[in-house]
Amino acid sequence: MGKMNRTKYKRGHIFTHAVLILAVLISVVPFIWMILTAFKNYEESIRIPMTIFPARWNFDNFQVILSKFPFGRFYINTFTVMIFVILGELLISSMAAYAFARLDFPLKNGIFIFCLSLMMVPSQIFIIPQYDLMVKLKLTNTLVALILPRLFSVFSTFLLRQFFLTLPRDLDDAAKIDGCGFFGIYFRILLPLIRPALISVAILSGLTIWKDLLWPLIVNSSMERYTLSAGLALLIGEHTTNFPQVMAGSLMAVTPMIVAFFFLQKQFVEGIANTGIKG
Amino acid sequence: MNFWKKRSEMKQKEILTGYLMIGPLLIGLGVFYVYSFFINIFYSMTNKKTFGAIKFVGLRNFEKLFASEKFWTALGNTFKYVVICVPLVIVISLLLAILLNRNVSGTGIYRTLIFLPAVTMPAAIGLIWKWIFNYEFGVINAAVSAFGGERIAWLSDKSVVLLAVATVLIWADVSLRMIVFLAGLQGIPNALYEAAEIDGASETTKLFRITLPMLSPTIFFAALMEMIGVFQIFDFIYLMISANSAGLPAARSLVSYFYDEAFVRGNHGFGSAITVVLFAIILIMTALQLYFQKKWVYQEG
Amino acid sequence: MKRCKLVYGLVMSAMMCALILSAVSVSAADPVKISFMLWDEVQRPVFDEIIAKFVEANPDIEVEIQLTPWSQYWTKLDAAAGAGEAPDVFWMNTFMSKYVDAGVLEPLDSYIDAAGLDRAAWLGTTMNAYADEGVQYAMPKGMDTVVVAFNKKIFDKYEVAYPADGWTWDEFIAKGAELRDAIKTAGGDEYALVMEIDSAQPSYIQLLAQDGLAIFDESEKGTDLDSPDAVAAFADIVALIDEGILPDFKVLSDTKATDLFLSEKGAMVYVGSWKSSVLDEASFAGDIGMVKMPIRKVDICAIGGLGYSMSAFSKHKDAAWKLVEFLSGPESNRIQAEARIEIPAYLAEQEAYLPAFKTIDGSVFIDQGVLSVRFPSHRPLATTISIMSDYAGQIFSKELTPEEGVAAMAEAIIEAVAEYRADM
Repeated sequence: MGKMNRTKYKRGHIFTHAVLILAVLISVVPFIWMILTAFKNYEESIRIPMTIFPARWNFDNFQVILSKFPFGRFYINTFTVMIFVILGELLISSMAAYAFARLDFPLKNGIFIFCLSLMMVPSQIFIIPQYDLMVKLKLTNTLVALILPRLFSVFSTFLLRQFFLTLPRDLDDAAKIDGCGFFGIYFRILLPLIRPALISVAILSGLTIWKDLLWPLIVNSSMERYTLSAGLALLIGEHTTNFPQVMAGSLMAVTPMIVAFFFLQKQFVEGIANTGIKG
Repeated sequence: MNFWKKRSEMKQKEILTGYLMIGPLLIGLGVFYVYSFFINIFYSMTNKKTFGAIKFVGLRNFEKLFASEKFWTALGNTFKYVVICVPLVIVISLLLAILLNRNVSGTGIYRTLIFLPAVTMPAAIGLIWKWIFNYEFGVINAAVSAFGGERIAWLSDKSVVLLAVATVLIWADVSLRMIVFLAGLQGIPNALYEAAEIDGASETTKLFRITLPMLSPTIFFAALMEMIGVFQIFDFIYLMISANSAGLPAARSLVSYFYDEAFVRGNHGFGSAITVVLFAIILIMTALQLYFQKKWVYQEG
Repeated sequence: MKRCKLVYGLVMSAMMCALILSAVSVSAADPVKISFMLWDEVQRPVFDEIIAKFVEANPDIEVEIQLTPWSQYWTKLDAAAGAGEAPDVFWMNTFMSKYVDAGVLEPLDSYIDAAGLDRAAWLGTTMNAYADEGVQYAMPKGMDTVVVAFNKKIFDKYEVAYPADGWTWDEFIAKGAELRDAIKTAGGDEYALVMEIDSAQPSYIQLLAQDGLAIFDESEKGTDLDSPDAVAAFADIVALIDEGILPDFKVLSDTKATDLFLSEKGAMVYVGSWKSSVLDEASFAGDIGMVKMPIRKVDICAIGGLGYSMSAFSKHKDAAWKLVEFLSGPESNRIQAEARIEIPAYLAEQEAYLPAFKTIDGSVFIDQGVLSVRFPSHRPLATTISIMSDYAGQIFSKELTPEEGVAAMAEAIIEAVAEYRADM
């Protein structure tokens, strides 16, 4: 490599690093500011000129938030809903995906395309009727109300179908010869082979529940049935807006998923990357 | 019946299994989505409230809606969010993905940290930025003051509030799209670049002749998804701007308007009408985008 | 630092234990479980105390407190009512008629008579406020007034004399202008006056009431805001902004006026008695002065106040009534008065209110209520008051002139009233 080329190469690298570092700063600084504020007391947070670091790292704000709001419940509710939705959705979607990908039955393509068309409909259009359904079923103010409508995902079905389609047909045929039924082929032969896709779907549907605000806010009225997202909306009080307390609550709410992300980075990234798949 | 008997036992079993396996999904979709969709359209023509009897009112909700200034402002705001956010999210995330794809040292750490907003719930993001944007005590205005500037009421000044909300939305969405693009970039065969290098192509040529065309289906799909998402913006507005704020009229989106009417004021019928309009708009925009995609996007094979 | 961590750890583990216990415990006696919803996080600890006392006296009843902030309270109550399963007992305000019409509230008269309560034990205005066409639907909690609090430190710093009771609106404006000039000359960054113009009660409702308007009534139109008198109150607030006495609406809607006052950014604030404990606990409470509101045409205060209602859907009405009776009774009134969170509606306990203040002088809150009218109200209030704040916002952010805004406001309110009646 010539000298000219190398300096050019290096200059390109410096530019890359500079832009990426800037992007990292922009992404991370708001989180750092949240953490710093969460440990300040109220007087410090409204002091002018502003101080960057808390004078004393104290946990008072966390204690206040924990005493005012059932945060423990928020965690339990969120995780319960996530677990049930993930498991239920995986089962329902993967079964349907298998049928759409591998079996032949009348109207299959029509039904599939009809399902896909539901993806284009904004979710708000379903909210009032779904809410009414929950009222009729006497399910408002329960975790079931948060779980039930979320079990049926066209997107997950679509995603899993794409993965089933990549598997060779010989697998099915061999299993059939061994006397395996369709359900057996699905459950014992093919499902284990698309494990990465199942993990992607699990992460995506978990994240959706994690982030959802409108539905839990509407369908449940008791704080004891709130998820973390809806619980956060409670932090903006009527009287005083004590931001150190609000930030303490936010910090508690965001931490579990960030920790999970650090441990399961590869799976998260693959999961999200799959949302770019198109048919 | 004949139709059924003609088929082998195996074939019959396959058909039955097929319906059984899509059954749970179809029932769920049918009840919670298809039925809900049509009931919602019916509601949009009633005076349904949170409680009380339902009365059919024909198209009165839509007449009221189209005569309401709030609706047109909310619609205008929503389009502004789309026009500002979608291109910026796509361009920034694409740029970051291309840079990350160069695999300079530390790429892993960069990617991890830039990705953080994607695993954070919008409710928390809204609260964090509400604090950052605070007029009296927010860190941005502290910086503005320190440099001798005039403080800005980011979340309650009509002229900037939409930009402030859009900034937060872009901040929150870039990381997701970036990951999608990164996966797309890694899927482009290296052989193409190697061939181009032999021909002496410059970086720019490679970007415009290979990378972007190869990635165009992904870009279009991401833009479509982003557009549909931005059309439904609600969470950030709900958390950052209080109900009687001076900034709300200039920030209110269609979904905020829907939430306000349907669930704060309890006008379910009117709220349903708003969602029907939202649906129609998204349908049209999607159709347009798909039409243009056919014309412009690079098709493999 | 270590100790804090320890406390934090203890709190966390205690919470975990409580959660596990509540999940596993199937208590032997199976006490009746009722729920009680309120919206004020400041008052929550006081109600924890009151409920503890109640449970002590009624060991067979278990009470779950549900705190739902104001911003979501009515949404939640609407939804709960629509689903036919409201909390057993909940706070009610002047929105009451709407819930009466919806059949959500249990009439209380038979309970009151059965318990042999004397209605004259409560302040008449508040008792009447919770009767709808002669039927009692809530028991009064207390009364709330609005006064002007001021920060003596800021007045001293700029050498401006403190305001005194009996001041007129013109004197109030003059005081504001004097402060504004003094602050400007000295290069200070405080605001002469802050006011929660993003909510009605501690701001324009008081001005309108003092101008002699009924605002919301049960007349055919349902309002007298379409009269020329209605414009003045809004025009006066806009003038305060124009003259730089009151900060811009965008500043006031970003940070609550009380928060500005508490962070010593505002010299004077229109403040409700429901915030008295927050004022009394401010770091500069010793420097907070209090006066009655400046007098416009009439020396009067529109007093709100809350009540305790009982759900018509409650499965344990006897237990729920016991709670309502206890909450509106002497002991609960005294505890609230001593915590400075409420001026008791229960007359015999009003005397407990004043001595409760540690630093500030709470007597103004009571004085202000001597000449009072009931908070303006009519059946569709829940809708019409939000119409009012919508247009008020447009006036304060200068999208509409006070004349245009009030005209549009009145028109929209009259339409909403007619629509409400047509739907009934």
